[in-house]
Amino acid sequence: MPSQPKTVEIHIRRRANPDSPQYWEQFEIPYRPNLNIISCLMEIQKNPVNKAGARTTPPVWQMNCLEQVCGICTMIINGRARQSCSALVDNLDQPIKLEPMAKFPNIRDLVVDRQQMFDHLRRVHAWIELDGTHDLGPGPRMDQEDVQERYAYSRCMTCGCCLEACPQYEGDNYIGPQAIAQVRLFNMHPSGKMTRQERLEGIMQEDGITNCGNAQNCVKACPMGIPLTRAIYEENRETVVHGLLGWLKD
Amino acid sequence: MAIRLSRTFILRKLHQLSGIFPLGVFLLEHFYTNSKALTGPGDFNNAVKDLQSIPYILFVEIGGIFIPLIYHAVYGLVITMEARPNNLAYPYSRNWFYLIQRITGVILFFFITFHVLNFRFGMIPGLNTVSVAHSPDQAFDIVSREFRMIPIFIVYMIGITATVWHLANGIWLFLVDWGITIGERAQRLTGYACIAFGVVLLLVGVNAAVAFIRPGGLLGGIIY
Amino acid sequence: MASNGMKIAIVGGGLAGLAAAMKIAEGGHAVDLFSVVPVKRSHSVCAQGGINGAVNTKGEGDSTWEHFDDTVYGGDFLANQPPAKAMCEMAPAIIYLFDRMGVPFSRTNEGLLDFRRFGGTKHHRTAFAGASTGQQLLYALDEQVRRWEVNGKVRKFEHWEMLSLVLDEHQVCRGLIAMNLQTLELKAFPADAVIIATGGPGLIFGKSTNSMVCTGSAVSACYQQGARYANGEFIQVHPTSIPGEDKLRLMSESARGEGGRVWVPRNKGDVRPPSSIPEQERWYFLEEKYPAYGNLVPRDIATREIFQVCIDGMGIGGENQVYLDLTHIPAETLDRKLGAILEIYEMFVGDDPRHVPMRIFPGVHYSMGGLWVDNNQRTNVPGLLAAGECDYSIHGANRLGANSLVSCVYGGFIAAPAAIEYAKNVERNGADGSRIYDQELKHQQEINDRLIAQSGDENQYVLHQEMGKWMTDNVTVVRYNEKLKATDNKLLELMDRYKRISINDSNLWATMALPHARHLDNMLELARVITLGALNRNESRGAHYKPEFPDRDDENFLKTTIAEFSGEGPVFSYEPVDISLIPPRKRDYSKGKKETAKA
Repeated sequence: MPSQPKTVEIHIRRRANPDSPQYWEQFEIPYRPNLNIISCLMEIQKNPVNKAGARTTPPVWQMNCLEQVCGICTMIINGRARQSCSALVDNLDQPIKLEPMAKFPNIRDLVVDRQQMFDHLRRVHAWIELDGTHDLGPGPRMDQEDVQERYAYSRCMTCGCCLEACPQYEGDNYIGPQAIAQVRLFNMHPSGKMTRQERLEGIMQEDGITNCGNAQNCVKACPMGIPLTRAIYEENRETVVHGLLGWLKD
Repeated sequence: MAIRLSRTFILRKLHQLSGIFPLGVFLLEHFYTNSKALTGPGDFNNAVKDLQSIPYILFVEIGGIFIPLIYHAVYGLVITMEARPNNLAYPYSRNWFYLIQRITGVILFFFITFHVLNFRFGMIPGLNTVSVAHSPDQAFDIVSREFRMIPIFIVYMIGITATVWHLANGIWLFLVDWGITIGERAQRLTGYACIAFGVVLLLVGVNAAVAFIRPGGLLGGIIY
Repeated sequence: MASNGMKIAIVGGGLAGLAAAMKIAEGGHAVDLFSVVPVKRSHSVCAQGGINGAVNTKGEGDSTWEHFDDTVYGGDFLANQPPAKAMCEMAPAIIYLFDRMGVPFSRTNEGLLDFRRFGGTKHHRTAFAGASTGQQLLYALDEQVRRWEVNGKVRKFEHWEMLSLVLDEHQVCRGLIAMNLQTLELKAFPADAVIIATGGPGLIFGKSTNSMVCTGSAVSACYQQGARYANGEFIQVHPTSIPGEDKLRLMSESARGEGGRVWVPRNKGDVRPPSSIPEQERWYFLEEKYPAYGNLVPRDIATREIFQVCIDGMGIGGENQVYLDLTHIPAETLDRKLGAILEIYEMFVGDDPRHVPMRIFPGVHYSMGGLWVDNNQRTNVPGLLAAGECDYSIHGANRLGANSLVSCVYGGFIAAPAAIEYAKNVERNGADGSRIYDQELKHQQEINDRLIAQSGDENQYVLHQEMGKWMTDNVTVVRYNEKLKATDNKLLELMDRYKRISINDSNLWATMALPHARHLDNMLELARVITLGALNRNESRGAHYKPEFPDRDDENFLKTTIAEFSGEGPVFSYEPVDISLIPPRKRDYSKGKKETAKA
């Protein structure tokens, strides 16, 4: 094994604000075992001096849970979208290149605005239409196998890796695997099924499910291992049966 | 109760469907006719003649081939323009298939344009000015003469390979796009089936093409 | 339903805040929901193990009273009993509601909800969705609130941070001032009632199992504006966390609930790999000392035992680590029931816990203390309510595992109607009402301007680090009065140095520096409440343990600590605990509950 380098070199693709251009800045911090990208950024933040020794503004990023379950710290690390909390320096080639996600509006440095993903959830009615929150006893009985499939979809943390990796997604032209998987999550539920039509309408619009190009990067890029292509293909079936062929029942 | 269908949804579904039916089916028919060349020029010429004797041939050709073909080609280019390939960052096989499907699509756009103008209409001055369809008794000779030109033969080999790839992968895509194949295991199994289908189809297509310059095709008539 | 133009503001979009938002919107009223992160990314997602409710589907004779008794007993009798009882009674309905919302709870063969065991109880009482129950519950509420957002009842202000309340001349809460975290724009938001649901203050301890938004800053702002802060000294240190450079990652109690065993080698300095240490040379110290509950003793006890073992040099390789062993359980079972947390361990440590015992150590996890509230989640400031981890009710001196999710939802469900009731009856401001908003807005803007303008030689991140280290070293598992005093002095020093910090970011657009500087100020104030509260409480109870005073002292300290802000620091007073339902008894987890009841 080669001896560990004494420092960690990090190149950050920066931007002061949405109206100014992007540029690269290089940083170097002392190496410690078990560093993740967040710890490196914290180290730079504490003392924002670049590799050339010049004082600079501290790079800005987003972070919260640091356990890869909130999704907020997603960025492009050495070319791939992933969470920076679970990106360990020891497993990365140096210099480590950090970039903001490219498919969402860039706010500053590594921060992007992923509001469009939440807007998609609104459009596809990703919820159960409750009669009310008063006590109505337990929900419907369910097969553990179905529950496990739903659980997999329900782990989506809206991080955006699937959209970032999708060669069909740019400029919010495609509703994407994230929202489609949520449609599947609720269309599988015995109560959710009752309002299936609204969700199908949500994914059958101009930017809908048919924009999928089957490159299947989404399922590989998903940090939660969600079977996104399965969800898309299940919804392909639902849109064909209920959407395309729905009129045959009228 | 029917759901309102968006324009994109209908166009895409038609695009997916048209690739299989009628275009995919037509390709099989085309290779079948071509393969008649294995047993000699006469058989091939008769096959061409038979095709021309189909009732309402004009409408069949326009409605069953040209319109779907032009639609599939033009809308396919529209879809291709939307692509933002990222194969270096995400070098997975399906992502490569995604890219190759679009590359073969573009190849086919030009190849089929050429091929149709060339043989169906005989409108390539300096190469061929006789419509194969309208001169069935010369059909074999026209093709054979061109295929003996090495650049043309290479163009046809590329065209046939691209077509076969595009259809074989297209069948797989159709199966998932129409929600017929769903799970990962099913995706894998249909993937193998499409590869096998593609290999057989490629051999059949190439063998038929070779039959125009070498009697009996690749194996010289040992198997046909 | 008519809403007569009433507006309720909720600060915090975790489980409690969303629960309240959903209830208020369902009641037909308008909600402004503030959150520093998109609500779906709130800290509630980190809760792993499950949610308690005595549904008794396992035929174990469980009941809501048993749950209530376990909660009060686990909390060492410091909790006011009526709200704890009410929560336990509501718990089954809460679980059923989430079930109806589509949370993928694990199922039995008959398709019913499955339940697992958690610490401090002998019943299977914890419903769970894999090992990411908090995430699943939060998402369910996020979805429902999104539905109300589409229906126009809820307005979300994400990436907005509450800086202060707006109080009128009678100290009545009339709304709040919030800051846009991109533009740093300050804005006043009038509201008839404000519900604080901002979670815990883990970041005061530097590294904890909490998310990075858990600064306690908003709560501290309320405290500094007159809200009482109760039982601050009760900080739960979770027995099993994974030490990391940037945070301590939680290893859920469900690992033990599903049969995980805690052990160290019997022989000091035994450096063999764990798999080659034979059974008889392993010391399962929890099982040995607490035969009745074994590895599932309450968290404060497990934490102290692990801590002590390491202090005695018995930790793995002499370090601050013990084994949490799941390797005797089939990998398939582990994947199904604990998959999510095992992945976390694998991802951050690199070992596969299905085959190699995990190395864990206690880490700061939860604050039992928080804003003082009455049985209806109302603080002492009229118009200000609190729910969730940020309020002090329910858990007493120690929280039982899987009680936090249920208490968050319960708090939100109680706060919502209480806020509506209050808002219905409150007298609105007169014509010159806008004056108080302008005043507070100006005050907050001045604080920002001063921080931006000042330049000194202190670094805010270094100060935060120092505070965290002192608090973790001296105000967590074992507490000595000398050290607590020294810590308070240190905090005073840090407060002084805070006046000389300079914001190290010249680009104020979307800066992290200014919000952090404001958090730090508020964290220091709360740190003193925690430290001095601990110093004043000369007994040991639940999570609060002083070797100099090793026993519980009901005579002097069966009381709620109450801190009130003053310019000179917190002023403490004490309030009796409502023990009207279950008389206090000695807490002894080496015996079953029936045996202790007899004693």
